[in-house]
Amino acid sequence: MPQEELLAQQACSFFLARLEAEISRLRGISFPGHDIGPRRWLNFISGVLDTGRQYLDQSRPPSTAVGKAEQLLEDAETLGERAYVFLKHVTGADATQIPHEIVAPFQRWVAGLGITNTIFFRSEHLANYELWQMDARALKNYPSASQSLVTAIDDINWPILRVTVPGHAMDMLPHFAVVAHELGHAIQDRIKPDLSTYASDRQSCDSRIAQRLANNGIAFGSNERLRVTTIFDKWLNEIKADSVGHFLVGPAFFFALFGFLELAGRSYGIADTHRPSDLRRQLLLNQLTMGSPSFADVFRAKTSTAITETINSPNIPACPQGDTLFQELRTEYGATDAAICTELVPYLQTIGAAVFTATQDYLDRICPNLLYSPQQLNADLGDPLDMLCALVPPIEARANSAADPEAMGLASILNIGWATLLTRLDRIPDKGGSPGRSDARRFDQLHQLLLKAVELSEARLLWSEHK
Amino acid sequence: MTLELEPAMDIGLRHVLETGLSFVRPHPAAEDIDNKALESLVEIFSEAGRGSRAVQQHELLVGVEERPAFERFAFFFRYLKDTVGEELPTRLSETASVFIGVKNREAIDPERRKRVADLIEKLLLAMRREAALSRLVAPKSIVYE
Repeated sequence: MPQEELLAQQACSFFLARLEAEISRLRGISFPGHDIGPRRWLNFISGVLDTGRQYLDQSRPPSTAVGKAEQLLEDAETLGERAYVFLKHVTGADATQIPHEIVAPFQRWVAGLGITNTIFFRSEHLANYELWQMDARALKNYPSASQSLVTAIDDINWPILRVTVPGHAMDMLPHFAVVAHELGHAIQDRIKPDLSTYASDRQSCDSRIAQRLANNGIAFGSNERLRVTTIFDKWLNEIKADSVGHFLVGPAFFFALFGFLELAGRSYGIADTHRPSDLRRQLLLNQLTMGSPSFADVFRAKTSTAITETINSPNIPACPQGDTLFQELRTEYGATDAAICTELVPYLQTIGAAVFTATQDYLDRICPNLLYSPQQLNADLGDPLDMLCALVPPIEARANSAADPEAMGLASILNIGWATLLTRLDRIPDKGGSPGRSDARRFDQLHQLLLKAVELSEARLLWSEHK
Repeated sequence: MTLELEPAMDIGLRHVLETGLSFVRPHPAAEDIDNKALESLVEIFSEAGRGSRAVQQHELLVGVEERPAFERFAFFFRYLKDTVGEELPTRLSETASVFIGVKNREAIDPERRKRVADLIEKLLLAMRREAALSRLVAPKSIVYE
């Protein structure tokens, strides 16, 4: 074995040992809520490392052919590098990084939605909410996979899910309603809208795409068909996720999503991954104004404030349409994606309501108790809203005067929080300080009250479950 | 879905494909056939073939109805669109049927074996090329004007 190869083996061995030490350290910290997810993830990484260590050991005997030894060493290095990347996913999942109060209520949403995948939550210093999924079952195909890897893979319900929320200065509790959207992505494939009544819209959409492509000298071939399917799939999934957010949280989801985009996403929002933000907002507002009484009716009656499209997102720009949109997108994404995105916009607007209906049908079947209703909003924006303005965190409420009080759900707390933030912030007492920052201090106090409400209502719920 | 483990770097997939190559060489010894890898090959190519048919028929909801098949086809398309082109759906289906034949210990026409080997070699080559060309992170400099 050449000396260089021996040195490379030593370096790899040291690298793997460092990774093993990192895993030992992470196993010693506490993760908030139900911490099985991060621990199973760590077991999985440990299994990857054990497999890498086996490869390294197999590369070492002098009897191993040089070419084979090089391949084994390369594979060991690759697994070490993968393990290093995998470790970053638990960064921010520990109790010091993510508000620990919020994790258990999120897990109630997870369970209520019938999500059985292994999951964990983490925060990141980034203005982003995200559901990340990975299915690594195929890693059992590794030649000589270690027993620890096989066991760890068998212990995880794949795909494993990781929900990321913005951390530190951006972990503002009212905005966490957006997590309902991310969990919607975890069940998106179970929601199956019937689009057969829109066949002619679909044909028109295809014709318009074909025409735009032809105008740019592009045939509607395999590549273009795959792009249409890929972009449509992503956009459809975004509507599904928005609809799950709407049905779980009601107006608080609308306020949270567009309040967040106002702060940190002031673009058109359109790309091969997302529909334009203003059209998402329009579709959600339509849902808030449907029925009698609608969410918007109740909100206005209780707060004397109308929910308008731009109530807390006045600066999200309106996305251009048609030829103007095509020209702008072409510069950034090329003619194929520009043509597809431009012409999918009206089609997705047309089918949007049908997707919401399909989501409602699905959720009605699997978790009717999780759906937030205008009636619930009406109750939440009564006494609990007044009490919050008197600095009493909303923890429990009675369905009627004769009933026992019940723990307040996360959706209720978020709606009370948003109603206070948008219509009654001036009633939260200002503790004083520099005069120009009164609103920020009030918001911070509201944030702390809501966190307390989430924590205590969860404790109240646990108590009633174990009574 | 974020594809954390880039296929080009996936040791497991490379192993399965290399094993697949050994199955379609002339006269593989029966005892050399790794049934686990063979099952994986049949699944991978059958799903990709199904995904390709759905995309060819322009079924917009294939991502919902047949997500694994759709993603498999998208994977093969990414690596083979330049070298196989419009023939890809046919070649994927043929490859799946050849591996089913190997599984059933059927006699396989040498020309079909050769075409399957060609497809896998092209795939492995494209994956190796992508791995070899993966970028290193360059220094960043941001200046506000």
